[in-house]
Amino acid sequence: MSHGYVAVQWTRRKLIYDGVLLAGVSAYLLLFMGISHWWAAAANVPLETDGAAIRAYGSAAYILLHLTLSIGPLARLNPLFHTLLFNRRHMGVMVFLLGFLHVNGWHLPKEPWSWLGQRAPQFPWSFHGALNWYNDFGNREPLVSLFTSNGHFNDFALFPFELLGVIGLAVLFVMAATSHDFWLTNLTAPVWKAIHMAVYAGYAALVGHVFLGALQTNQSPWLAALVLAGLIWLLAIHLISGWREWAIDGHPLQADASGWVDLGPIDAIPDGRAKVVALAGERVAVFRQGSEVFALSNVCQHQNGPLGEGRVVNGCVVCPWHGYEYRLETGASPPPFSECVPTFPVELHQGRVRIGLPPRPPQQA
Amino acid sequence: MISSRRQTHRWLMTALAVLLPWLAVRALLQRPEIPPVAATAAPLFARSDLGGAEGEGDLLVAFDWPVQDTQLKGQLVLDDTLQLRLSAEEPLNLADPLLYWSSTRRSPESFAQAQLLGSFAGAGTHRYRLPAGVGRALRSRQPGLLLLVSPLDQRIVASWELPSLSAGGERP
Repeated sequence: MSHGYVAVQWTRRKLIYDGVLLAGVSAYLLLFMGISHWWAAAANVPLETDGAAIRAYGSAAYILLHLTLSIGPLARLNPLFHTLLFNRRHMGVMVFLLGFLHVNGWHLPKEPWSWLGQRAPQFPWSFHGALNWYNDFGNREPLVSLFTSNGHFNDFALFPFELLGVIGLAVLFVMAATSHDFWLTNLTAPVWKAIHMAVYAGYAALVGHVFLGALQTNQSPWLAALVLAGLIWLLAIHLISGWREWAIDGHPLQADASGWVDLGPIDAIPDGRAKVVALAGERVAVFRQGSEVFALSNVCQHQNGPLGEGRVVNGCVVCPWHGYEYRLETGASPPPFSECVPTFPVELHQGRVRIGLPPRPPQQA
Repeated sequence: MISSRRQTHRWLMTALAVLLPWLAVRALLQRPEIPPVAATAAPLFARSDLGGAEGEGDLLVAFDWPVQDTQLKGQLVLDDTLQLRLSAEEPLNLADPLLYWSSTRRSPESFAQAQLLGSFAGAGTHRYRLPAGVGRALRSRQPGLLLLVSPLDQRIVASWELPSLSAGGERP
């Protein structure tokens, strides 16, 4: 690992978050399988347990992906959702794991036994994944069959939806593999975030996978309505939050002839909070603490979170995403941390707040 | 930097908001009345009681079926039920070929009305338990055709008119 990397420790909040996540996913899978068994018994038909498990894991991954992608825009729209944001990367990793199990079943967890030449135990929850269940009945290897058995690329109704699932899973793998803070630190937050924007391409592929796959065979109008509602929900909150952000970015402030930018009266900024403005192509968070004002870059150095939405504690602004702290006067994190953000000259002129350009470079404590 | 990424996100989501609902609605509107089924999925065979048959049984008819550059060896066998055994020394040069039975005398242009017997993938002997309708047809003067289908190409690769059991067929 890089010499600059410092591992983030597990905290009680993280453990609770992950515990709730695991319990929720387990409950969903158990409920899905339980209802499937009950329905099959009531209808007096044999239950295709592998198929039911494939659908259980696939739907769990799809639902959890929607939840994960909802947290960002919801946190932009309402600070109450910040509490879900700090550990959403674990949700993303869980989405990948569920998607992988949907495809591969419990084959991979049994591999260590075969490496040792032992017979793997038969887990009661074990099942064949979609790859083997639907592609291992011919004279071709399942992976070869997956990529060659459907060549109807010009036919919308028969389009090889499996390949869209492969693309989605590949994107989720990249997201999961690079989700750790080690990669965030070494790739730098801008590069890391640019890579993770690919999750929307992965999401689009998975929407295609579901609509051209599962919803072709399962023709329940309720299921179609539910999946469609999930799609519209996610697109709507992303668009609403995105265009609300544009209200700030689209109206950048301009400095007057003296080089200062007028931000209005100090009373317009709540005590202990910030006003966020667009200036020189980026956002600036102007904090008020009593009768004093401070101006910092709005971009947290950890994951580019919005510092202007954070609270001021002991003279430091606390990033609402992961709790990184920066001193209001200098923009530097208190020791032993070394992160720092640029600050801006700021002054009070006849009761009005004015900030100046250019920004002061980041200065470590 | 962050501002430009927000802009990218905004335009990306706007594009997806046009593309994905279009894809979703079109996919839902074009759903076939009869859902497509992965023809090689085991549950299909199991549910239709078309799984591989076991046991020796009494040989009723034997026949050879030329397909590609090889001869498939066929046998109709009566065990508890009527069975078809079809052997290939070499795997056919086809991806996941399927065997169908069609009641018509002439080779049909489409296998849509034919009845799936099972997968004919790989070399060796494949056993098919024949549904009752096939058994009745075999005892009539119009026993129907065996069709070898390539699901990849959606076409009939080869067809073979079955010998009628009522006419005696070729007894060993």
